[in-house]
Amino acid sequence: MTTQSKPRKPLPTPSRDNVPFWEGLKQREFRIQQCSGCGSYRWLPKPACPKCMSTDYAWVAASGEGVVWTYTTIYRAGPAFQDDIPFTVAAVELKEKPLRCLVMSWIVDCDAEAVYIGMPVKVKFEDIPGEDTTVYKFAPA
Amino acid sequence: MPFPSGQVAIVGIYLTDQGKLPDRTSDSLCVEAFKGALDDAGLTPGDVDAVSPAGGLMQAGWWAHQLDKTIVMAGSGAMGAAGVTEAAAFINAGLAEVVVLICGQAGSRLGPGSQSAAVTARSPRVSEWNPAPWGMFMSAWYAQMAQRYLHVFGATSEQLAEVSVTFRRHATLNPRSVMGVRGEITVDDVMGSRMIATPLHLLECCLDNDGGYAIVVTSTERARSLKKKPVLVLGGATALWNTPYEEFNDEYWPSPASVTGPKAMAQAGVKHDDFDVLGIYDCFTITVARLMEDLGFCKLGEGADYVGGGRLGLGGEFPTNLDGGLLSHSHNGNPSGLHLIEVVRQLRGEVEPERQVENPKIGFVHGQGAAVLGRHGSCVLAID
Repeated sequence: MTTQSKPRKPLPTPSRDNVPFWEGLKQREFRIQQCSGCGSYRWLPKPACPKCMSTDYAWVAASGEGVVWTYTTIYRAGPAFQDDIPFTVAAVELKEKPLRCLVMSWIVDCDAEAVYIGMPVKVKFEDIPGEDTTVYKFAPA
Repeated sequence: MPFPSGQVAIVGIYLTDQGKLPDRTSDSLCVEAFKGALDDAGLTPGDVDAVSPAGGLMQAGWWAHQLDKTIVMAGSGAMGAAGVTEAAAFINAGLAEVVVLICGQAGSRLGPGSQSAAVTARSPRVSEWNPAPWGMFMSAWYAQMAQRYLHVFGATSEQLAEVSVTFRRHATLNPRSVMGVRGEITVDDVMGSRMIATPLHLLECCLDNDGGYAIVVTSTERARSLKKKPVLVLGGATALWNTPYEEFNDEYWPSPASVTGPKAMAQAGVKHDDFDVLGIYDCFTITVARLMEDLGFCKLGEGADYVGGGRLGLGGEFPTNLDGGLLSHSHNGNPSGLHLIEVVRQLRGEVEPERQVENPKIGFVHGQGAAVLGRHGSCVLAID
């Protein structure tokens, strides 16, 4: 089955600020920002720390390990996802517990209906053919 | 500075047809609603000095051209309780006198069926953290919230289904509702409808249709000389917690409703028990359960139980969404004004007798939009 006969899934447009994150995926690292002011990890990437508003930070490789905080198994989806139904999109709480946000992604390498809240998962990486973009997914740890 | 409690009023409302309207455009629905709401108020286009269109700044510019004059954009484009709150602030500050909130949608849909089917050589690109690459859409987003909620609080889908059952019953009493003609439904019908995104079934998800409406707001002083009995805005508040992604870590369970509800009630000097009729945003069943908690009608974790037992039904403790709500009346793109319009009509005593609450005096309206947490607005409304 060629991808050219079907609609392609949309991809994110990396921001100039977050190049280290997207480059990290290519190098098989899931990088999050750590505030140099207060030490907090944060996600999503932002120019300043939501806690102390410091704009000084470092990109650090997260463990990539976490647990499913919540999920949904999707049975109705757009044209680009018809071959994937059912699929499960989780909100994963990373081990580092970054401020503010959970990481949304697919849970793969298991039955879509086998995902549960509290399930240990680990990040994995997927280079998109024909695109200069690598995306992240999670699989059972 | 205190909210101008009782000094601003809703004086005109209008609903176009709701449903599949293949012969209509968004613009024609907006114009019909605008003229209809002014006529309901006994005002003319010449009286209007401000608009707040759901389409925001670009649409406000369109209205200036349509009205052939400079106008004030009296709000952010929020409809419903948030929009009325913003209009009240503009009017009270002397920046506007007659504000019309306008919303109309035809020919576009929010659900996944509206996503592109184009076959392209390269992948289409969306903004950096847009969840679309994961096949997400609004129903799936709320489904994640519902899944966590059921897990944490031991609630059941059957409890949430009561919301759909109650609002469908109301829709059957509203001849203009989209789903009323389909008749009443049971909890089993909801549970037996096809799964959209676990745990939400089709009948737990709002409609996605065409339609328009408009709401006219002015000072109570001016309202006293107009056609209809004014519906006074006793309290109003708006707040948001909103990203293009999702942010509901444990500590973020409370939505902005937990700010806007108590604030609006305090401004009005009323308590929950004072309300005769409610309009509560109901894009999904879980939304209603969570809002009843955050608005203080019940405690966190009690919402799923609270929305059952006929409490929100006509004749119940808090008759809610008597038009059928977003689940069974209409969801026309930016529908938070629909709840407000129904509460205004109830307070005026002008709906069909079958669904009219007996002699209501005080109503409460809560709307939200844009995201699971999103932008919220609450209003306390009253009639003399």
